[in-house]
Amino acid sequence: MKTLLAASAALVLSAGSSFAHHGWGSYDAAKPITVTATIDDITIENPHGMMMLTIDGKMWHVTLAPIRRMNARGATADIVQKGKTVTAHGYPKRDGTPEFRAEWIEIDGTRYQLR
Amino acid sequence: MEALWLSLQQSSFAAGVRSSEFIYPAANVLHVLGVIGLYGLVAAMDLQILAGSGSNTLVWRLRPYAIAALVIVALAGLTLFAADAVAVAANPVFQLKLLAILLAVLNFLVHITAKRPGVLRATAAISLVAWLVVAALGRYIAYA
Repeated sequence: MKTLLAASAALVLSAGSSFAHHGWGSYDAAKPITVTATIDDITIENPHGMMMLTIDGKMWHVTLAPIRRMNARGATADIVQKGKTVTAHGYPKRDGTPEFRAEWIEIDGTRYQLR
Repeated sequence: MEALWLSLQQSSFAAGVRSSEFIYPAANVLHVLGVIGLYGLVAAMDLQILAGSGSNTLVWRLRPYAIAALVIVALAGLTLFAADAVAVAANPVFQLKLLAILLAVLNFLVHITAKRPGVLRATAAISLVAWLVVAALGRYIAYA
């Protein structure tokens, strides 16, 4: 029991030591951004994929959707590929971290809704 | 502590969960179904105790199933947690949820060692609320 208490106390105390990139509320829907860039890197995974874009010399993380939804919308791994040009529209983090959550992405003239 | 979550997140198990199309959603569904089952059983037991008829046959019958449901929920939850351990561990609502689980489990331990009817009823009432709080916090992790 003491170990359990100590473990949970330690977990509670470790709060804030790393930034959580989660929480839909942490994205600012009032400031949508649309960018076109080359995909520097991409991971298609759960709970959601992530791609890296260089925007004005700065590396941005772009949050995508779960694998199943990406595939269902047609944004499969052979389409959303490293090196491709993508236009992405989404909501940036409120705290100023260079990350935005993509509402849709457009590749080779096709728009894929991710929400 | 963060190093531990990082090593969990970088484990081949977690990598497998992330790269699979179906494991994560399946664990998610199982987690929710487990919670429904668990709370149904918990509520039935607690209400039986609060009704205070003196006969707790139902409680004895249901308790093993409730514990089995809790194990399923925990395993499915651990699968979800492992995939994204560092970020989730830092999530304040997740931390609050762990605290609520700890309190609910402590309450259960008090309950099973208690003899006085007043304590039995009080812990049953606390249980009825505590597990709802746990479930609500769980759902709220995504919005924190």
